[in-house]
Amino acid sequence: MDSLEARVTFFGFEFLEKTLTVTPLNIAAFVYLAAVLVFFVGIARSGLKAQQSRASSLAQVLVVAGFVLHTVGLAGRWYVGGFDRPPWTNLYESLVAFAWMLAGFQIYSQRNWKIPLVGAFSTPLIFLLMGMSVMTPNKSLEPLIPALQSNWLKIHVVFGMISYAGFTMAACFGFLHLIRSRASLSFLGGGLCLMTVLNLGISGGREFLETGKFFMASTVEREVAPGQMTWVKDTYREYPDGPVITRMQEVPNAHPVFWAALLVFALAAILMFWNRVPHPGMKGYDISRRSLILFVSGLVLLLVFFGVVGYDMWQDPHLRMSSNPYLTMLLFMTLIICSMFVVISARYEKFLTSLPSADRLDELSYKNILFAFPFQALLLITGAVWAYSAWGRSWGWDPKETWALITWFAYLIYLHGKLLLRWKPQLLSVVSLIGFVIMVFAFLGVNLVLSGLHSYGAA
Amino acid sequence: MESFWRGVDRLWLQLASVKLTLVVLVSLLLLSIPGTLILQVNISNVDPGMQYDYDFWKLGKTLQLFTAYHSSWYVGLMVLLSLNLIACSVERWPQMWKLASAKPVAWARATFENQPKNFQLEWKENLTKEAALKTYLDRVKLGGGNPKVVEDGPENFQIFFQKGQWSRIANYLVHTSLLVIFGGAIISALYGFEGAANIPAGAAVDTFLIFSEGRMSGLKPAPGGLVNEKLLGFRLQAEEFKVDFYEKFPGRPKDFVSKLNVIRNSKVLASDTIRVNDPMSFEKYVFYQASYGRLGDFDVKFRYLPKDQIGYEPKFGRGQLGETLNFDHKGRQATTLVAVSAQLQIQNLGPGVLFQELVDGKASGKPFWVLQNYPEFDFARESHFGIIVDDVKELLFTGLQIGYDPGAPIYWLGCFGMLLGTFYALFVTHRKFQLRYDRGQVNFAGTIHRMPSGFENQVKVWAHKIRGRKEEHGQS
Repeated sequence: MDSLEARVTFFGFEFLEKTLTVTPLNIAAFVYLAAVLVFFVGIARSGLKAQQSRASSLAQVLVVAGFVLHTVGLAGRWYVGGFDRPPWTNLYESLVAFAWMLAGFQIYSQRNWKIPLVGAFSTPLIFLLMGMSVMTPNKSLEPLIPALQSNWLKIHVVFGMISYAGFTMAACFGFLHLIRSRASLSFLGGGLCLMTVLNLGISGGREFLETGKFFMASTVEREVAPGQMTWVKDTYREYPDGPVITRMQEVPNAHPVFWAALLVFALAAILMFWNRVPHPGMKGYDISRRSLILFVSGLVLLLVFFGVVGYDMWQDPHLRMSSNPYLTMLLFMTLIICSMFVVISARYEKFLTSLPSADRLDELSYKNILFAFPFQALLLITGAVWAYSAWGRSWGWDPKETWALITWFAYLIYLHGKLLLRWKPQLLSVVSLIGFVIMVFAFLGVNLVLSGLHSYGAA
Repeated sequence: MESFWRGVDRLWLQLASVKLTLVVLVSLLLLSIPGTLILQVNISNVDPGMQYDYDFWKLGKTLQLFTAYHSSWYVGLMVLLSLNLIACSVERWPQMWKLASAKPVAWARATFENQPKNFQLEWKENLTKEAALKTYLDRVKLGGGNPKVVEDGPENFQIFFQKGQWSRIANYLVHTSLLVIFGGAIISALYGFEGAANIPAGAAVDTFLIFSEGRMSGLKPAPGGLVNEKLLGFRLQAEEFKVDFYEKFPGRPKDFVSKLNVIRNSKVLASDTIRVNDPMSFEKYVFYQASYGRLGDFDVKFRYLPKDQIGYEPKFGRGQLGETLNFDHKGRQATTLVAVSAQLQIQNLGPGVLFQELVDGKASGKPFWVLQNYPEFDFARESHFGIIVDDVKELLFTGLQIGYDPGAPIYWLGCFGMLLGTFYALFVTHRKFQLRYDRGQVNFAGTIHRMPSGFENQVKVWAHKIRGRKEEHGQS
């Protein structure tokens, strides 16, 4: 990227633009990954109090270190791009900025509420976003198209990040609350399997949904005159040093493994929901051996899938993992979260003792939603005001807007269920998790799967 | 008759049930989804009939899937939500009002004892009743409270104060605002319209194409025009249009600007420069800069110079592609030229124009390129004349969005109220504090209507303030 090789002066020192705007963020991603792994050790050490608290403190230190680098990177982007170009103008940057906000929320939760293991659930999400951003091919500081040249850009997106980070923390607390309150582990596992099926579906993208085959982006760099159109399935993008074409290409050997993984997780979901075996003396632990075996074999299939894709990539150098950031990271994430679930179910009772009371976790989940919800309203309204000044309509029902509204409905349901109908905390935690899934779709899914006016933010 | 009123009563109670609210909200959540997955007529330019096969299209037509957010089922849900909201609000008002504006009452000793232990404190006070009352009242006022004295026995007194009581009824602001937003949206839907006009730079239009139009919009159809073409009632001229691109990122627009004139009876009534995010209004119309496009035509300025006549004044020519231009020539038949094609960039040599000479309306000789930056090339061509290109301008049209949204001030007011109410309802808690002085023995307790954790600190801080212990403020 031409522009990132340029030199900038910052406090009297000369830097490559890349050093200021990309490198710290890439390093931060790996620091977060380290934190995820240490948290993992922390969960595995449930029952050994000293070891666990050592692991979680170390992980938290890593998160703070990542956050510092993250801040430096974002500040660098803002500095280089100029005041009128805040560092959240395209999909790459919104991933980074949202991850930053989430890391901030996590550090705040940790400091204020002292619940060490919540980080074990939010850090993987931070890493998911950062990992996606690392793999995004185009990280250059593209200047703003006219529609984005507005002060609303600065405000509107920040409200979005605050509310979405709040909802994410609420979901983490909600998930912990479900485990702590001894909600049926089978149900949780079943939900996780369904999520995985959904994840795999999204990872396959529109091509998978349309053809049933597994596609990956392959990057072709070649001469195309500026402005020249290419055929529909290709995405064409102008770079400072020439146009790049990304084409969706079949990955020849992956279909059977992908389908097998999908089916095994779907089967595991069904088995988890139907075949629950309560264990005497262990309330909540009702996962049957059969469904656990199925679940683990799904995980193994995912690993095999990675192997097959790796082999195909080795065969065809045009296929690049880095051109599929979302696919790769979603699958990787599934792997992490599912393995975490297996570890938790293996050390169930001990894990429970390392958590605060269920009531406390429920309250923290509620607190985060109370905080995030008004910002969600602000997000919707500032979006409407901006759309009104740019296009002359305040509400156009484009998919991004509509999904933000759907997210709002989900949390409205939570609040009315909580405040008026006095729903049980477990039900509320489930609602909060569903709200979270909807929110993720509103934030990323719409840009990746659907299209709309906001798609100019897409990579 | 009685059974009729009983029926109305029952219906009312059904409408006022919170369960109905939840059912409606869940339905709204679920029924908002199909419209994001299926092509919407008002949003996309693609006709669903072209996109989907016949059976699905027929089903979609029946279920109004292609106009999902204006379908009878979606609007019906909104109406149901509004009715439910009104009924719920009316039904619960007395209860809520009581909670927010309750008169302070004296607490018995047992009431204090029944409060959670961490939300109450007790201490001994050396002051007499009168002195203590005065000191405590002053200190509560100093701390930002509004204390009320509650009559108790002869030897004792009670003080009550509260914070954030209006958060109990802030939801009324939210709900009313929601209805106001709906009201504004209905007005916009009835009286407003949304449309667009593409105007070639320099040209003017007096009609525009409508995307959506309220029944009472009062727009007149353009005689002999398209089905959705409407009269503006004036001429809208795009006097100038300019688009700038980023230097480093070719093809990425930086700014596009139109200079608009509103003309009626050949008088310019208004004129303004608009760009994206910066519209112009005239009467009820608002013009937004939305897009631009190429007309596929060029405006070419050039000079014609005969080679065989020394001292001959050059003749200026200006025309668009395909336009024939004649140049008189002493002692010769006039030369007829036509610009066939033009490009802004010919292999990095800059702009150029492809000319063709015509004789008796027929092509004579081969067409030839003339480069603006290299005029000498054309004089090397074997011919009795040479051409110097002065300017090649691509003709663009400006894409305007034209709208009228009479409900906007109303729904913006609603949005503001909703924000205010949401923040107040969710960020502020109703906290009540009660103090009882009984012959030197003081009991102090607080209650909070949600989020109890952390409240013990507030109770402590207040107790410290009342006891006049400044140094311990803020400590937990």
